Amino acid sequence: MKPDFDFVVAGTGAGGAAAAARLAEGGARVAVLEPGPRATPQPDGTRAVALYYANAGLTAGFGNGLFPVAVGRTVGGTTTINSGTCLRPPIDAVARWERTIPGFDAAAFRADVEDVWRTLRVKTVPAERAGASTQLLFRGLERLGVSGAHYLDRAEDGCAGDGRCCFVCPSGAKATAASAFLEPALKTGNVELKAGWRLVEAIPARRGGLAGARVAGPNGERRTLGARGVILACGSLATPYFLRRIGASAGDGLTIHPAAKVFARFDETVEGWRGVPQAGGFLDPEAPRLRFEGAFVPPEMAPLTIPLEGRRLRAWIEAYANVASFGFLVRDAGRGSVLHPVGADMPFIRYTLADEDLRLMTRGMRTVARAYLAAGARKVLLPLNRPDNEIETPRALDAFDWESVRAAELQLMGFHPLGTAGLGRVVGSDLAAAPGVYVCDGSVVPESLGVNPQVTIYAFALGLARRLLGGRA
Amino acid sequence: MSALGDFARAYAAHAGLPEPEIGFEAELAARQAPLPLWARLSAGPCALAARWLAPLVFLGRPARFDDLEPANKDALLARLQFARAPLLRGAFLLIKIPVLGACYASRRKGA
Ligand SMILES: Cc1cc2nc3c(=O)[nH]c(=O)nc-3n(C[C@H](O)[C@H](O)[C@H](O)COP(=O)(O)OP(=O)(O)OC[C@H]3O[C@@H](n4cnc5c(N)ncnc54)[C@H](O)[C@@H]3O)c2cc1C
Ligand code: SF4
Repeated sequence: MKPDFDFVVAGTGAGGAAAAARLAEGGARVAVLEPGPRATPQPDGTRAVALYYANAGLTAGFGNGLFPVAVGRTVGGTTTINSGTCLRPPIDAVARWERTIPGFDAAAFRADVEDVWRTLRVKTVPAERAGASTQLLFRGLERLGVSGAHYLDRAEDGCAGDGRCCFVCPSGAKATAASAFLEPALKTGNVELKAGWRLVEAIPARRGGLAGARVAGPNGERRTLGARGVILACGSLATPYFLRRIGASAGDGLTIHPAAKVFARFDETVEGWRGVPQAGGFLDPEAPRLRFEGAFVPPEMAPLTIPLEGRRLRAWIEAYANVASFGFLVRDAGRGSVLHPVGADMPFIRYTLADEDLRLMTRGMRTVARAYLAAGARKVLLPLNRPDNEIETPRALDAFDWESVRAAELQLMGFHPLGTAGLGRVVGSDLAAAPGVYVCDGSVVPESLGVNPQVTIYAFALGLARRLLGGRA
Repeated sequence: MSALGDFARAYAAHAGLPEPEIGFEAELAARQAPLPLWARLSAGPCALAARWLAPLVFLGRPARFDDLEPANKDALLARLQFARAPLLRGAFLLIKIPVLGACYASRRKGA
């Protein structure tokens, strides 16, 4: 039987778009499935979330707390609604994979990382384009004598500092999986983007025959596509559903990089919505699993992210022009799992925040709060759902009962679900889960990375494409 | 009038926020339209519970949210926002998404 395509790729996020693009550039005919719509900039961030985030942004994990987890459902996947920050995978992690995962080629992987870096046109945020939240935090760190704060590297070309990266970049300057990989690949003529189509089932190849993909169209139509290979790139929350259906034990090992941000109120005007929101970062030398990165939500999103209610909430919203915020994430020791009792689109997430992660979270909020107070903030708001979360002085910050903080009180979010089909656990170093069925998205990341993961995921995808093309690309 | 609309009106009156230009019902409907069916269906019952049941459960007062003293309204909202039970906080979020969106629609950029 003749295949309909050489490869069927499910998902157009970091993993799917990059794999599809390289396969197509290498001469393979590729069908790309994407159930989400094409994103257009929205003046209201809440609308962008409703339209382009999976489950309208309502995906959440439950366990010893409430853990919302954000992923995209749009052409370009989560990269269309991400901050654009680029970090290479940690050296220690890659070295560990080389040691522990048979066949993992660290040198080739590092070369793929550099390839991604070039393709995304990564550049460091210029100081003048950084949002005022970042500038104020840097001022505070300087006053405290903390060194090492720096501007971050981002995937962009011509960024105007519109500050809406997570709600679809209005200028198109941010490099996404769609703009950097998929769109150029479409020009080769080798890619058929099946917009509105989703994978229903992956069918492994039998006795050297073809693999298959059962797919569903926007009007409920169903087809089965035969191909040399089916590539699962539906993201860490959906891909395990398809893997379990073919007998793989996927879904455990979920890490989410629990993240939170501290708000700070100044006398001076901040207008934190201007400039690049995730412009700067720093590490805590005494807590290397903690990473600090800029984070600012536009005013229309603020009522939902500020952990206050009623008139206390209104007071912060009224003063939002004078509010700065900065975030942090934890390379988590805690683990979770994802199940799908009602299908791939409705993940049921269990997650337990480990005690050591909770301690890092409190350390993170304390560090940011102290820096903002040193920078002259009148008041800081900790990401805690408890009545004593507003702090006015460094002394009050020190006196705060940090030991009493519970995981269930944290106002946190996971932006980086990873690891549900971990390399070395569920898939081998060839990223094969079954004959003719491959995985390349965040689910294959073998451990909590501790850095924003898009570059790592793109790199896994380039490696997979090269291997599938037999070294031709 | 919907349960969500009633709660939104009471919430806005308490927080001193104006009615959206197009009215609460239309604003809420527009904000709910892109949400998943389960979220749209559960927001109403959650709002009903927050307005009628929560004052009794959390403050021991058999009164509607609308009829509480301002300080008690704040206390009730804080109990919901600061709930440690993930499901309760999640349910409150289902109300907050459309209601706060509608209530603060005219309050962009801290204006
Ligand atoms: C708000 C936010 C900010 C972030 N900022 C950064 C950052 O600055 N830097 C960074 O490195 N990372 C960032 N990330 C994370 C990063 O963008 C993601 O980790 C990465 O895009 C994940 O890639 P992926 O290929 O695993 O999945 P995704 O990019 O999520 O793509 C999965 C795709 O599969 C599609 N899909 C789902 N089901 C099906 C199906 N049945 N059939 C076919 N397709 C399907 C989805 O619609 C989606 O398009 C951020 C994430 C968020 C939420
Ligand atoms: S800061 Fe603005 S222009 Fe730059 S990437 Fe983000 S949204 Fe686009």
